[in-house]
Amino acid sequence: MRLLSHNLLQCNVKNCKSNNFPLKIQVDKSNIINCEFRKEPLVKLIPKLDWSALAITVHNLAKNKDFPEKYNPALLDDLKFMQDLHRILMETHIIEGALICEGCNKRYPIKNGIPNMILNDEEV
Amino acid sequence: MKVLAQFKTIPNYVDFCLPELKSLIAMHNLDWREVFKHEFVYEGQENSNINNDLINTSPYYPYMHHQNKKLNQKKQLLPINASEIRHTSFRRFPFVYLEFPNVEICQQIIQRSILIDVFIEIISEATNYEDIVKFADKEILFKHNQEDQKILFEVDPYNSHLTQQEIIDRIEIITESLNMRGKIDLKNPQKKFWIMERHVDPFTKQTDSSIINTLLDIYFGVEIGRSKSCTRISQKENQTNKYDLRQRAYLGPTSTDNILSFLMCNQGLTRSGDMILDPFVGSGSLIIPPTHFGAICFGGDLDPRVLHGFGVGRLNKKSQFYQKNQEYCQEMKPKIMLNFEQYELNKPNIIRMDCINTNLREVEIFDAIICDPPYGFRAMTRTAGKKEKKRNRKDKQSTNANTQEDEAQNEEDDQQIGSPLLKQVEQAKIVDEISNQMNGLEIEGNSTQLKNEEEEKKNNENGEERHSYAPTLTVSVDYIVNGLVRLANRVLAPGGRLVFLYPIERENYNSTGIEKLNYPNFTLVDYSENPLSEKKSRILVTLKKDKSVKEFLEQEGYKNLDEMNEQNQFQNQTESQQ
Repeated sequence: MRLLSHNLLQCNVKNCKSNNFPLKIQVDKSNIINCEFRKEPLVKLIPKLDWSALAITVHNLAKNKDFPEKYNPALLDDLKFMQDLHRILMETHIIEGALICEGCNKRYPIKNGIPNMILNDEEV
Repeated sequence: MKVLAQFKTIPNYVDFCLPELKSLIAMHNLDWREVFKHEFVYEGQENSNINNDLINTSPYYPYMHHQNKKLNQKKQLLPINASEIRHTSFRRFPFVYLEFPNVEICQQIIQRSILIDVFIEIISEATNYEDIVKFADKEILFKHNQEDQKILFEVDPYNSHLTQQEIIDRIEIITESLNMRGKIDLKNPQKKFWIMERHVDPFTKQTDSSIINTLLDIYFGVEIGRSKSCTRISQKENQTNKYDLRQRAYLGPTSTDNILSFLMCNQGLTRSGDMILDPFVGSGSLIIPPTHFGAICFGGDLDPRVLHGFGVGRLNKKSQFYQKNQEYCQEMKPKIMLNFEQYELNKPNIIRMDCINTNLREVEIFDAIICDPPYGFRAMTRTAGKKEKKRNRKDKQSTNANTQEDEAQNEEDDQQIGSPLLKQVEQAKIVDEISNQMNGLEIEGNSTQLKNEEEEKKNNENGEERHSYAPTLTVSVDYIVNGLVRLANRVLAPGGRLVFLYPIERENYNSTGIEKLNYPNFTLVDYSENPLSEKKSRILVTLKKDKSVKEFLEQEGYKNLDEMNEQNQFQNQTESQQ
């Protein structure tokens, strides 16, 4: 699972309406899979992402406080930053672990790189 | 510039030719009405010695390509009314005149197209060879006719057959009278010239046998572009053949074939860098073409079996890739990624989720949703949910029973599963199967054992069974399509396209059957029929999202999406009750 997918997923348990995004990530095993860096798709993608959710996740996972908390269009011209972002969004894969909702503590396991977002009977 | 497009004559995809072309035109931001401004070949032209009715009665002209004589014997290829009307001009002859602003756009379109074979710039068209020579456009001819060029002639008689000698004679008439000085080279030609003849359709119900083989018209032109999946290029170069299912390493129970998946990708206007979602991804057939064109693909599926590679998914032991990398194929996890490894494509983002009750947050991020929902014809349709939902489904069945399609679908469902009691038994079996399989998976991975114990504890505390997966339910066609539209309203970008396959019974199908697919905030762009058998068929439906949800809700006076969905459901129910 890429952090790109993580940016789109929220907890879906019935009546879990607040604090259900972003989900906390527990990483047991992660992997870097290289793919070609292309700037255009990223430029198209960035405005659609929830930037603060991405920043929180990167701060938590990488303990890297350099990642800007607020989106700023000037970042698009910074090639070094764009390459880093490409690595974060497109090349980092979480293979084993879990996504945890901070609102209701629901735990979504990740196996073989696929998060399982299916709910229990009583949670639907 | 005026260009003649020649379509491929693949019987099951004849209905897809014009919609595909329209999509490709839309991808280049052109208006298709401008491109189609020339009359179709033969429309409005009269031929004095031929009864026009004879030509008109021939259903689906392209089916009757001279090379495909066998097709005439297959019943399932008979056309259905709706497409007949829509493609009335096209069916007589697989050629269409188009107008493009420049050669570059022509070439980009033809490179991407699956069903157009070649684009030809016409030098002259006439009813006999004297006129072909007489009316040849000197300007175009001069541009392409140089002394030191290597050239090639392709002679293509429709509905007739020419001997080698006849072909040579025709080429000689043209080269000599038009003073074409290029050298003929069959292997590496720089220019390809086309001579096409149209003869009377031999399969029409004619009474007069003398008109068979009557030459109707001739076209002479030069090729300006050839499709990458053209029937005339070698197997190795052929782009769609590369993705042939027979050579794909990992297959699901209903993997979509390579031609259809490329067509669906084109219907979705997939460009490089686009975000594409397939909520019923299975073995990934439908997101392979978009990934090939550089899109970022997301796939969701409820059923873990195909994704992880047990149960219904299977390794294709006949494929060369499997034979070369057997061990790797066995060990690879999850199995769906194997296909992307095989084709050296970027990995897609796979999520196990329910399309109807989705986990995707409400942001209009996807440029297209392309999918083949499991309707129960070939694989059962399920959604995660409580048992009560079953009652809802039955309600739906009874309320929708006024349409014949649904009746047929319900019958189908009942035949498959039997009585409600049997249904429950069946379901329990499936759930058990899945949970067993999942447990098996968990035990395999050592790193996850700790977590499993935790999970188990949790489950035991709740006094539950060991597996933590909700039971899945079978649902009706309309339920799944409504869910799909709801999902699209939630995550599809305004102007984005929703492309999906819709099952029909051919007997009951008519154009209104599809045009009634009228969803709030969506416009029907196109639909094409893909016959599966004599009785069954599926329609490729392309819908376009009109406005952003926010704008739409404001206009219609709803507070949020849920409210709109509820009200619409209510409306549909009351309508069908009446």
